[in-house]
Amino acid sequence: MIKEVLVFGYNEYAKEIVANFILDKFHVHLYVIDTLSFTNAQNDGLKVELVELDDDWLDIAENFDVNEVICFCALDDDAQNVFLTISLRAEYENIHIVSLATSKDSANKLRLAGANKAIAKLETTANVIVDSLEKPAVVEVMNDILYRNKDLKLAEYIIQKGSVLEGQLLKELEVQKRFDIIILAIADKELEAEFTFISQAYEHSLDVGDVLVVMGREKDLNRFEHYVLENVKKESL
Amino acid sequence: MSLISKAFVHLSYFVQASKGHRKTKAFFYALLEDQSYPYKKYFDYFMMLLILSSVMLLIRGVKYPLPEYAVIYNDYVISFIFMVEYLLRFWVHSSVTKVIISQYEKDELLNKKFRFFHTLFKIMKQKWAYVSSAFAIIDLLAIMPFFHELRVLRLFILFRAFKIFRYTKSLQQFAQVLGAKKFEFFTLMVFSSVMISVSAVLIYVAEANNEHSAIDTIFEAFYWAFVTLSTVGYGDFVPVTDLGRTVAMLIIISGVAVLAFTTSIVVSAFTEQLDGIKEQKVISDIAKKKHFYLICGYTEIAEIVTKRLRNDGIPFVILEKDSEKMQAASKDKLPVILADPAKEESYAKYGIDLKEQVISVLCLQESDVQTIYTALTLRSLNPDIAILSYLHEGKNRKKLRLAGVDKIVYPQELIGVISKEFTGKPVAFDAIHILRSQSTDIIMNEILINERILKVKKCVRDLAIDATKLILLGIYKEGEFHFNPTDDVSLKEDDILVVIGLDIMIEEYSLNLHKVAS
Repeated sequence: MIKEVLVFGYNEYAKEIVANFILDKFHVHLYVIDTLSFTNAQNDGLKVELVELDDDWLDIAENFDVNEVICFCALDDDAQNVFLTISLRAEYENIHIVSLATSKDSANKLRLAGANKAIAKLETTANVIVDSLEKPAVVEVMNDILYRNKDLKLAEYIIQKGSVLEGQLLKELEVQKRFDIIILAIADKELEAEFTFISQAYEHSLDVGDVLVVMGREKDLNRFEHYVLENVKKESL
Repeated sequence: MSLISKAFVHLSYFVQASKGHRKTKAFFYALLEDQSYPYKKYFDYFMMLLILSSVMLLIRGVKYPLPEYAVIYNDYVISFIFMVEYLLRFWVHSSVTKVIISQYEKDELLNKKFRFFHTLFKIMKQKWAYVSSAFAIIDLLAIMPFFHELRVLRLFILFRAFKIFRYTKSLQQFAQVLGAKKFEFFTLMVFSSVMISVSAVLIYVAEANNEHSAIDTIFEAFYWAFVTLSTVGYGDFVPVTDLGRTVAMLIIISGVAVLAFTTSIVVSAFTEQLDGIKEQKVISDIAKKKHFYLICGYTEIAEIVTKRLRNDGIPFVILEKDSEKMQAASKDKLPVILADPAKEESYAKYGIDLKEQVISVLCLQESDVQTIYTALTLRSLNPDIAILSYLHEGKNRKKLRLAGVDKIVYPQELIGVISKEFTGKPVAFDAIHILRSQSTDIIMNEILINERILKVKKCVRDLAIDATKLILLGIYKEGEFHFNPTDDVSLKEDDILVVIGLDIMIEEYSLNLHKVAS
């Protein structure tokens, strides 16, 4: 579970990231490498630390549990972000790193440097623009689910051993009518980040370790979760 | 006012008010002169066919006698058609009645007597402008074979070949390009004529009385000078005297210069006009497009947006005021115009119809200042057009709104909200992103419920989505999203189904919906 958010750099992008996380009541820690950003952040009333880019980053491990930390590399320069990413990765094998890149090319470099996720700013924006032109309804739904705190939510469930879902075929589940939720996809835990989308997977039988990606209203999702958990208990008793 | 001029004015009003007259004139104008009129090209093809057949008959007739019907066809039928065309062009070139009426009203207003002859002179001046134009002269000469008894006039059939210019756009463009260099060509012509005249006279003086020389007349002297200056030099007339040969050397040197000069004029004319020609092409391409997105500015973001639009087969046009960037876009074979989107005249000049053609405008310019200016220009031209803008600095958001931008995309904000995804449910968000990025065959798409579909599909049950391998995520009804609708939810026009599934399956399902309806 992520508890601490480390943001590197203080430009317009970083500002938005910080604002969003503070809104969600995360602990945000800000690191900057130049004095201008330092004073800007201080003027905005944020707690900020001035560091060197070639720091060894040992104090991260001293202050936080590395498994509970997510790092956002949002420095102005792509090369600096790559350097920062690679330095962090060199020190911590398991730390979660998200980096901002200008274009797809630098995003690839960041991934090579060890970022778990690289966001290409230009491509992301361009995609949003084109999508909102061509599929406005889809974009609205996505935004509702992803970013607005509306009723609709996404959730994921890992199939536990002894779960009532284990061994069932997807088409037999009938959760859509029973719980008013939709299973969007299944991620196979062994094949990391490989998705089988529901429309290809009606014949898929659920195994322990599969991750279900489910969409629905919060209360329905809770109902479904309850049902799954209760049934595990019954069997293990 | 005399009786005659009174009658003229009355007649003018009558004709001007006649609907039939106006319609007929508009039709012929479109057929003869309007490049964008779709049936004009068939008329042009027909005329070209006539010309071609006429020229072929001329060639055939040189060595073999033509049958009677061919002569009649060539001399009378074609000439007659050409004459009708000539008269029609004469008619549509300007409006006689309009001149009379405007003059009459002007005189009336100033309490003056209607000046009949002054008006007549005005009309004649306008018509003369047509008659004296190069095209009209060629047209007239092409009719001449009608009087075929005059043997000389037979040659005028050749003018029919020149008439081809009228009906082919590319040849017209060629003439236009060279026409832009009128001054240079004129200079060249003066220089060449002086050179030819001087050398012709000199060679005549030197050689005409020499019995070894072939040059005997002043015409031969001119002919020799011309052939030599053009660097062709047939060799049928050769100077034999020292003076003659000296003249030859001089004229050869200037000949080379003339040739080089001519080549460079033609080449430079084309390089200068190339952009203009390309622009013409873009304009005619735009006119052909029914709907498109208008993209203002070819920035980095626009580059990626257009790439995706092109991949998805969505039509668009780019307006860019910076010629370097415009070149870059045109190198990528994108439909781009060198024009400032913030200027009102740009749209009229390139025939962009904001109301009918443009689906929505994307302002992706380099700065918010430009975006705001452009948005205001667009708003003043068309209050209803949809404008999407890229916002560079957060503090300008309100200004963009005030300028009339409907949708603002602010990358910093986007990244900010996206970043939250990485803390919570990474798998779920990955799934959504895969759906969104279109990197797999599985996509999320929308199907619009229209009147046709509604005829047979009244509620969600009728959609029979369970029988397909698609998931109906929900329905958009009047801006409200209904997630996972039950079977008895009824459908209305303009509802949007949001479905997930294989790309081709969604397409097929959507097609089937329409098919069943018909």
